[in-house]
Amino acid sequence: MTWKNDLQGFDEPPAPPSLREIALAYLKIALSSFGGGLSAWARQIIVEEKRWLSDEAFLSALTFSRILPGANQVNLAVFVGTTLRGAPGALAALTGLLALPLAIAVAFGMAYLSFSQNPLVSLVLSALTATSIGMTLATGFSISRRLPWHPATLLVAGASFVAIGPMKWPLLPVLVALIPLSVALHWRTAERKAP
Amino acid sequence: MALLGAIAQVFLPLSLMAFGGGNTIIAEIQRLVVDLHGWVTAEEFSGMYAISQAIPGPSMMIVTLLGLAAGGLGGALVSTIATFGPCSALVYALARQWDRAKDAPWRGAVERGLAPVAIGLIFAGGWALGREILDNPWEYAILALSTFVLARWNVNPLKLMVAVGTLALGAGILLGG
Repeated sequence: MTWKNDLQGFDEPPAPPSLREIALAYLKIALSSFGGGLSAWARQIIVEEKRWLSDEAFLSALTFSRILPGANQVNLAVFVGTTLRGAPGALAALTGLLALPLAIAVAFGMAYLSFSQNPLVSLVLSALTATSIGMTLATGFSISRRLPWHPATLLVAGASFVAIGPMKWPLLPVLVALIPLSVALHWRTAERKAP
Repeated sequence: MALLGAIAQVFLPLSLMAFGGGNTIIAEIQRLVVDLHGWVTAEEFSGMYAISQAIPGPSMMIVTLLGLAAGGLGGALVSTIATFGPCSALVYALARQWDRAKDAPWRGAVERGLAPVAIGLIFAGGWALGREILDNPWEYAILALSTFVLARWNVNPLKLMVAVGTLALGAGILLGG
């Protein structure tokens, strides 16, 4: 277990938590994330409160979760669970993270399917839909702001938008073409930027 | 059973294509469930996306709502497990190798290379969601205003949703909607 090294920064390395503790911690993270901020809550509870990972190990885990495909927070939960207790730990974290959102989604989904014809409901939902699309665009803008922009960056972002948005091409071939190209182009920008 | 199988088939490969997070595959999910299978209309899809953004939990919870619409409770379970299963298995398989790659030069290049692809896909998702359902000037006004407010200030999105929803409800009642 190489993971023990991550805990060296603490005076007393805590004993591995039980599966129940892992599931409950993730239930709490899911509950706290009403309105977003899942990453921040995961850090608060995993690092500050439970001291299961050091800050550095958490950041490394977050990077890992972002590089691999999938919902970042789901990946992070699986990584944290695996680190703490192997496969059962991963399942416990996943269950804790997804149980409540799943139940809430089903409840809201049933309500939506039976009331979506009501004119007042559909009016409110149109307004909320416009807001949620705004959330999506705002996410795009705030990630864009944090990026060092090179001509290649703009080219790749533009190509992936046009191919999937207006052109409606299937995602897989677009990714197969764009990701290796983009990584290759940004390998060089990385080298140039290194002091 | 055939329907549940079809649902699993749609959602199983999706998460493995979500490079850069759940928001990057919205346009692809819409293409599959609206255009290809016709399980929901474009308007329902966008309504469900709005709901999935308002509830707690990870991005991509829209898959649960879509599964529910396509195949009831069983559909919701199948779509959720099919979506989160493959990427979880991949993370589990690679988690123990990750430490060894700590100083590998490809790590930075992969991160930097994936970012612009993800940004393009996120905007494509916004495009796909808005294209067929925004038809009133006031919807565009709300879209522009929410984008500006959220991108400019660190507002809790749920608070913005509650505010917009309340205003819309008030306007609807006043105008006799």
